Amino acid sequence: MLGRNKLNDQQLVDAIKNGDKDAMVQLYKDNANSIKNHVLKNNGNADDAEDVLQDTCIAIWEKIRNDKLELKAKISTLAFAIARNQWLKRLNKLSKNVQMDVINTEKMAAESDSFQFDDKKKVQEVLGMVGEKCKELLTYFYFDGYDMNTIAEKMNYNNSDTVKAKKHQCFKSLQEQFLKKYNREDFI
Amino acid sequence: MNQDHLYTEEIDAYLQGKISPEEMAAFDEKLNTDPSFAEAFKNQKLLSELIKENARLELKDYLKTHGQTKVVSSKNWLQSKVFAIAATAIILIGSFVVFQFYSNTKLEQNIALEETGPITETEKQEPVVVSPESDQNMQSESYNDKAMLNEVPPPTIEELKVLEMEIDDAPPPIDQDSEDLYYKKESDYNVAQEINIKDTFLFATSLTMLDLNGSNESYGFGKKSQSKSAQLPEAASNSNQAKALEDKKKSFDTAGLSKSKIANKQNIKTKFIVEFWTSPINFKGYKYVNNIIQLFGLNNYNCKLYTVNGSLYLRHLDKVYQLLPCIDGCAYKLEVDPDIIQFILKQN
Repeated sequence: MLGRNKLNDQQLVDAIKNGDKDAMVQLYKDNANSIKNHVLKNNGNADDAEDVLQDTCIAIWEKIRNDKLELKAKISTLAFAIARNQWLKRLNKLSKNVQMDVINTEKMAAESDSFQFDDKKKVQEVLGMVGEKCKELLTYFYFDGYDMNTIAEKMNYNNSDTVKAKKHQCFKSLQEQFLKKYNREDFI
Repeated sequence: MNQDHLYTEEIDAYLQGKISPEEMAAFDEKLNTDPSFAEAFKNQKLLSELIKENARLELKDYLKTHGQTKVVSSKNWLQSKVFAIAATAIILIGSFVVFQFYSNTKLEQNIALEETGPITETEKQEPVVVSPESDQNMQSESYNDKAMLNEVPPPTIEELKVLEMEIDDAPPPIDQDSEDLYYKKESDYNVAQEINIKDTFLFATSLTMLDLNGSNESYGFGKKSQSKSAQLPEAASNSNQAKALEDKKKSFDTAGLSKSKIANKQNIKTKFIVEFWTSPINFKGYKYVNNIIQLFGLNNYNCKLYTVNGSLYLRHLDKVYQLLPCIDGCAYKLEVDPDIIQFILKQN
């Protein structure tokens, strides 16, 4: 990263598409001031600002990796819009949590579609139950949205069928170990 | 293929939005009717979210280790003294530029005056004696320039020289009652004379203490000097010689000396500290507050101060400027009255 020339928007998108994490670091640095200032000016503290900035970068990363980003505007504009929404969501969530504490409806929480991943250690623990190769493959598939052929190429598998079989194997292993140790309710 | 595998494929397609609306309807139906399918769906959904979340956490860790240091350091840089000094310097330079632009616009007006103004005089280096020319009962007074300002070598920007000027002759007595004395003779004007270097400071190029025995009283040109001024080419061309003396006097009163008459009421200080400044942006102009006069942009220090009819004038080489009290910096304004100019230029 040191000494590397600053990428323009298109180069940044291309780099992230290729999985270049340093491109995301550039995204992070370029937008740090505007996003953090926005959160700080809108009832957020420094931790909130950092979280929103990180979430924004990762949201853009995901969009680019999943081919869901069309470069119509400047990335900085997009980043700021995403950050604003992220912060609004968090504020809403905070107010919802307050309401839920008051109403205390467990059923509502159980039926909610959204999962709570507040315990980061627990998340990492779950994924730690499978090997690195499995984790990489599952991440490519679920997080990056790569198809089997792309994964085969990236991970040097013979063909998409091999990847499909491997993926099933990995997922099943993860599922079994997860269900042994946790309940779904732990993450709701 | 076992049942689990099928579930996985189908649910993956659903979770990734890769199924058709018809398949989606069938899928929803199955979720509602098949509890084991619903259970498998929930598990798979949670696990896929966990995989995503884990990937996000890994990326966040990468950002934390690779991104934050520079942001923090850039914050420190913003808060650093170097930044504060740089910002101050930029603001100062910016305000100087704005100030110069403002003063330049003022100067432009005076350039026009300069071009049309009556300027005829040669520099005289030797002290001269000015004899009284009026018929008043006044003694002739000699103006002996003991040291000319231009004899002092121009100081460098590092040294600010305090120069003191003294005047030997006292202000002449004024007889306001006599109509003939309304205009006074040339010898009544005061000329700065002596310069001694006293001290050094930084930044300004030169500082002159000028002791000027100006009078607060109203006095002006004598009749002879008035008629004499009429013989000057500029005055001749500008005024009708055929006009009566009284008319001329009247015109002086209304036009040329009207300012001076107003200024008569002002209390002109008799002791002036004159500072010669060099502006980094070449601002030309002056500030005149109380008895302190700051002259900007005059490279040649051959300056003298005069009071004429109670107004303060600055002579720089062959140009005469009227100095009015000015706090914020004013452009040098050339005196337009040819008689006052001629008179001052005649003083050595």
